[in-house]
Amino acid sequence: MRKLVKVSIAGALMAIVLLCTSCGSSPIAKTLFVQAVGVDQKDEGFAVAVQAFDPSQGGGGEEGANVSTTFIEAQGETVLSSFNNMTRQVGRRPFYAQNRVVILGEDLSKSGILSVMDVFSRSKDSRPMIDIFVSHGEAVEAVGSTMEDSVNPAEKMQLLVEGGQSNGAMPRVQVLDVQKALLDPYTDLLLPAVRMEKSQEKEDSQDMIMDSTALFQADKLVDYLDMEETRGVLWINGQVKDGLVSFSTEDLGNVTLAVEESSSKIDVQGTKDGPVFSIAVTAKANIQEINLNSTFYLGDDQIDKLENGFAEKVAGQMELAINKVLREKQCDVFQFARLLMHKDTDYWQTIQDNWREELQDAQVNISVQCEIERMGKLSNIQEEEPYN
Amino acid sequence: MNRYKISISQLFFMLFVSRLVLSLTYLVGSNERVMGSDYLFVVVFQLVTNLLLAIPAFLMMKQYPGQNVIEASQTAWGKGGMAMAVVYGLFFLLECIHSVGDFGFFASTTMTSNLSSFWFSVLVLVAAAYAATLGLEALARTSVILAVIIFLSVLYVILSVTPAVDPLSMRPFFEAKASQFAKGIFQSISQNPELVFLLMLVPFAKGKAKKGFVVWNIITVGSILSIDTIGRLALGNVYYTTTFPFYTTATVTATGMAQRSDALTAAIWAGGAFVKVALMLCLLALALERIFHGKYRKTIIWGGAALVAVISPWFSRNLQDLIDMGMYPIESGIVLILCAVIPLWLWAVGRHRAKGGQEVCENS
Repeated sequence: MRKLVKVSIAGALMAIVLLCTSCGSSPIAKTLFVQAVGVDQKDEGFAVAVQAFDPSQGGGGEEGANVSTTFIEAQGETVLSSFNNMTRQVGRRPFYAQNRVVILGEDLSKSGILSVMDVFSRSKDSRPMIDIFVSHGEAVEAVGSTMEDSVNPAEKMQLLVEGGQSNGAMPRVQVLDVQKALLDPYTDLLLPAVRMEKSQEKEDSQDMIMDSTALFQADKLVDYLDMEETRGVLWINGQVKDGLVSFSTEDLGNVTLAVEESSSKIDVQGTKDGPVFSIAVTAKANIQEINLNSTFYLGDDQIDKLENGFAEKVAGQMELAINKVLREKQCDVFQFARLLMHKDTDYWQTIQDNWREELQDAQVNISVQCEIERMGKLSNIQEEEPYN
Repeated sequence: MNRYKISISQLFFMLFVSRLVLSLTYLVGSNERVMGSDYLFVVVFQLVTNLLLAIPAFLMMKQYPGQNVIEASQTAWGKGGMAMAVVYGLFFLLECIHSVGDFGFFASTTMTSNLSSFWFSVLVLVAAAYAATLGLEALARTSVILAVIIFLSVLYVILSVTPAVDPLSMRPFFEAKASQFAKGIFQSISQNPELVFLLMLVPFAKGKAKKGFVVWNIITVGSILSIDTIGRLALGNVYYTTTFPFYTTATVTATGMAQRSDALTAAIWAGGAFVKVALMLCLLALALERIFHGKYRKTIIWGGAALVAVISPWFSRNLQDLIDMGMYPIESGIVLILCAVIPLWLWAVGRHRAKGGQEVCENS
C-alpha cells in the first residue's frame, strides 16, 4: 500500500511537471524571435516595427541552416495593441526575450517616452539590459532600412553602441537605466541617437550612423548633443575608459593620445551664491601618433606640453557639455542634483523646489590632470652616421 | 525517551532557508516605499528585535525543560492547554497559506503566465506534504544542502550585479520620521515567524540553542541586509515600484556569457519554498496531533495541504488588497503574541507555581 502511494505521488508529480510547462504552446516554427524593435508615434496611436528571426524560412543544407531575418510593421492605439496587430499579420507569436535593441522615434521622444517604456518594464519576456536608442526621424525606418546588408542587422546596431562605448564616444544606455531615470525626478537622460545616411557602397541602401546623443528633460527629448559635447558628458561622468584624444600643438603638430584609464571625482558645496561643483578628471594616456613633417625629440618639456594639451582639450569638451546641457537646456545628466542631495542634504532641501534653475547658474570648476605613461618613439631624428 | 531528532545546526539551517525564501517573493510595502533607504536600518534593527523576542521563548524553555510550547501549555493549564494547540496550529496553517500563496503568485506572474497559481500551489504542496510525512530529520538534512545553495546564489547575484551599482541612485539616509521607523520595526516582526517555529522545534534539537540562535540571527539579518542593499544600489527607484525586487535584481546579473540568472535563482529558491512549506506542515502536525494523542499525523499533514491548496489561490488573487487592509501589522501582532506574550505568560505561570510550591515546602 505504501509503495502504491509513493508510486502514485511520483506519477502525479511527473505528470504535473511534464504537462504544466510554459513551452508546450509555442513550438519554434510558430515563433518569431524578435531582435530589434522600433516604436513611433502616429496621429492615431503608435507604429511599431520589428526585425525578427523567422525559423520557418530556414533550411538545412550542405552549408548549414540559413535563417532569415524578417521585417514586420504594424500600427495600433497602444504599443501593445500594435504588437498584437503584428501577430495577426504573420500568424506567429513574437518572442521578445532575445530582443537586442529598442529604437524610439524622434516624434515619440519629443512628446514623451514614459508611457512607451511601461510596456518594456512590465513584459516578463523583456530584459532590462536591452540597448535603447533614439532615431533622428522615424524608428520604423531605422529598423527597416538596415535589412539588406547583414544576416543579423540588430547585432550590427548593438555593435554600434558597444563600439562607441569602448571608444569612449557614446554612452551605453539600457532599458533599466531609462526606467531608473524616469522614476527619478532629479535625473535626466542621455540616449545614443542614430540617423540614416545613404550608403556609399550600395545604391538604394542606407547606413545607420551613430554620431550624436539625444538629451531628455524628464521624459521628453529637448535637443541633440554632438560628439564633442557627448564626450564632455562622458568625461564628467567618468565613463571614458578608452578612446583617442586629438589636439594640435605648436611644436609637434597634430597629436593623438590614447586613453588608458580615467576617473572623475565631483565635489559639491552649497553656498549662499548657489551650488559649487568641482570636477576633477585624472587620466593616463599613451602617445599614439605625432603627425609632423619635420623632426622632433620628446623632452620633458614636450611631454608637459602634451599633457597640458590633453587637459585643455578634455576641459574644453567638458565646458561644452556643461554649457549645452546645464546652462542652455536646464538638464542634469551628470547627477549633480543627486550628489547635492546626498552630500549636502540641508542645502538641497532649500533649493529642491527649483533645482533646475539653481543648477543652471551653478558654478562649475573643472580640472584635468593627465599623465603620459608610454611614449613609444622618442624622436624621429636620424642619428646614424652615413656609410662612408 | 530520547526525543532529539535533529541537531541545533540543522534546525537553524531550516530556519535560515525559511526566512530567506521570503525575500524572493517579497513585495515592498507602502511604509518601506516611503522610508526609502532608511528601511535598511529597520532591517539591521531586526537583530535587536529578534533577540528581544527570543528571550520569552528561552525563558519558557528553561521553565519547562524539553517541552515545546504546546506541551508547556498543557503542563501549565491542563486540558485548557489544548487551546494552544489549536491556536498555534492555525498560525502554522495561515503561514503555510501565506507562503504558498506568495509563491503561487510569483510563479504564475513572473515565471510563466500559462499556468494558474492553483497548479503551482498543488505542485509544491504535494511535494511538501510528502516530505513532511517523512519527518523532521529528512527535512533538516535537505535544508542544510539548500541553505548552502541559496547562500551561494545570493552571493552570486550580489557579486555579478556589483558592476551595475550606483550609490547615487539610492535615496539619501535619515529622511524618514521616527513614526515611520517605529511602524517599520513593528511590521518587520511579521517577516520573522521563525521565532514561533523555535518554540516548537528547539526541544527536538540537540545542542546549544542560544548560541545557534545568535549565529542564525546574525547570518540571516546580514544576508537580508545584503539583498536589500544591493537591490537598491542596482535598481534605484525601480526597486520600490517593481513587484519582486530581488527577482528583478537577479535579471540584471551578467557574468561574461552568463546573463540573467533570474530563472536559475527562482528555481533554487523554489526549492527553499518547498522546504518552508514542508516545515510548516510538519509544525501543523506537531501542534494538532497533541489533540489526538499523537495520532493522525499524516492525515493532518495531507488535510492541511489540501486546505492550503484550496485557500492559497484566493490569497494570491487578493494579495495586494490584503496588504492594503493591513495584513503585515496584523501578522506582526499575531507573531508577537505567539512568540513573546504566550511564552512569557507560561513562564510566569510556571515560575509562580514553582514559588508557590517552594513556599508550601518551607511552610510545611
